[in-house]
Amino acid sequence: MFTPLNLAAITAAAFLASFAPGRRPRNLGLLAASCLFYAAWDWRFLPLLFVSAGTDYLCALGMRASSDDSVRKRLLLTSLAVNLSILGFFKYFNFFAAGLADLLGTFGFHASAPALDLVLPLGISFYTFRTLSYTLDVYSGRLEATDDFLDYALFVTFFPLIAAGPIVRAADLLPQLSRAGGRRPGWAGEGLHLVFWGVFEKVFIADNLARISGPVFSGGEAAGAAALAGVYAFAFQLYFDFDGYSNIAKGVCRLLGFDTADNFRLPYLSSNAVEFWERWHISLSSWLRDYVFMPAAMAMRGFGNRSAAAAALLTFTLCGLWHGAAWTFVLWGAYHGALAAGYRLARPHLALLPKPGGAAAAPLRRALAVLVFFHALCLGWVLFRAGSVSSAFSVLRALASAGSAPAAGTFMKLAFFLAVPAAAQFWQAKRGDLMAVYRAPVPARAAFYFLCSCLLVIFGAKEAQEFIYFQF
Amino acid sequence: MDGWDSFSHVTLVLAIEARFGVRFSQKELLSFRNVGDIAACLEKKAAG
Repeated sequence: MFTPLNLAAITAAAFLASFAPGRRPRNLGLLAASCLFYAAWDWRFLPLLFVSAGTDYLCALGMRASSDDSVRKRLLLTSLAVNLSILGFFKYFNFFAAGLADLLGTFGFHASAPALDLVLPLGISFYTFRTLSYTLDVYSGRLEATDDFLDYALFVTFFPLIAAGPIVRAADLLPQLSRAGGRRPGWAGEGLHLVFWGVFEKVFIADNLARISGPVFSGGEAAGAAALAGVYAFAFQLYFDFDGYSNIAKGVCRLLGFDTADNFRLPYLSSNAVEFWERWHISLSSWLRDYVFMPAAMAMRGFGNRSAAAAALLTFTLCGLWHGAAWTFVLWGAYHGALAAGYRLARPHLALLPKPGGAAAAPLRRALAVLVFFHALCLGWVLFRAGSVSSAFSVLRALASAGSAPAAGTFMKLAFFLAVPAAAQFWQAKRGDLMAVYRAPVPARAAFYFLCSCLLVIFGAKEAQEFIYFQF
Repeated sequence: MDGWDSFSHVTLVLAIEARFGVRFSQKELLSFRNVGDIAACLEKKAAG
């Protein structure tokens, strides 16, 4: 099972293995560590990883060997069918079986849905998309198929990325795995900084905010401002939970000598849905953009310039379904699709509107747009967090009602837990550099680490909670 | 590019298809990483 001790032991062993002389010994060591990591969660699902890895490895080799496009297409469809069937079975069987039974019920046929007691394999949504990026890119000619199954198996099982991504593309990681060395000076320091900051985001910020948001979403009595504080708390809890995980993952990759792209770029400073998705869970949004949105938009050419809006609606709805087999996620996705499509259809008209205050007031107008859009996001997070659609409506009703309980104390707590990250993000935004804190002068950095360590020790949540995105 | 996003990309590809009277396949669309890739694909279509 996962315990901090065995995770630390596996990471330490992988760190040592990453210095092994030569690519094969290093990759063998890292593959062994990755398999141990997955087995520590549940060894029974380890073979599933190798079914996905083996299928895509062979399909890609087949595509490389054939110049016949129909053969290549069949191999791509095989890869898609195998991977999406496994994902569909484990993640969506109960959802669609219940949906079908409900549908039959509306036509007067009473069927009881077979509900299977399925355990969702850890990281299945993430590694499925990661391995599919390989066959899709080999099919399109963007990427050369690899001969080496060791490299490919390591790419699919790589433990820093397995539990909740980021969904690093094969084109970005495989070339790094396929060569020896590549570690750059300074990566160890950056990696340690990212791991430290990620732990701080999770244990000090997210887990403490969970205690504020939890009661609002579990049938609590909070209403009005108190409910609003709970929704704000969840918005930041989710962000710092997932950003924390992503920073730890990126930091561990750096420590092992590999580079991965950023998964978040200060997303709550976005002023509209299109910008938000360029800064939030970037590895997923860019995957969906390239492999779902673009093909869907072009398949819907008949709608003319509206094809992109229709494709956005479809893509975001699927994005919601990717997060979980529940109507709340589907509605959350559709809501974001409507926000993105609506914004892009309105953008040419918005550009013609008068700009109060002229150029001098542009930062103020931007700040206002960010604030308004943040509240639109919060509405979506209610759907995302609520256990059911009716529960989401209960929270929305609580938001709209006048609460009698004082909420000033809750807002003070929010401000306390968010003061350090707000200052850090202000500095990052000002410098245009997500590593700005790491690159600050040594005395400032030392003070920052000291302050964060004190906050972690004194106020860090004592009961460790699982990362939210592990459930997806 | 400021203001450029995936919607702009779709609009550009649709405009190119209309202007040059071509139709890109899904495979070709997947392979486009930049404007140079689109230009190379157009040249290939014109040649053959």
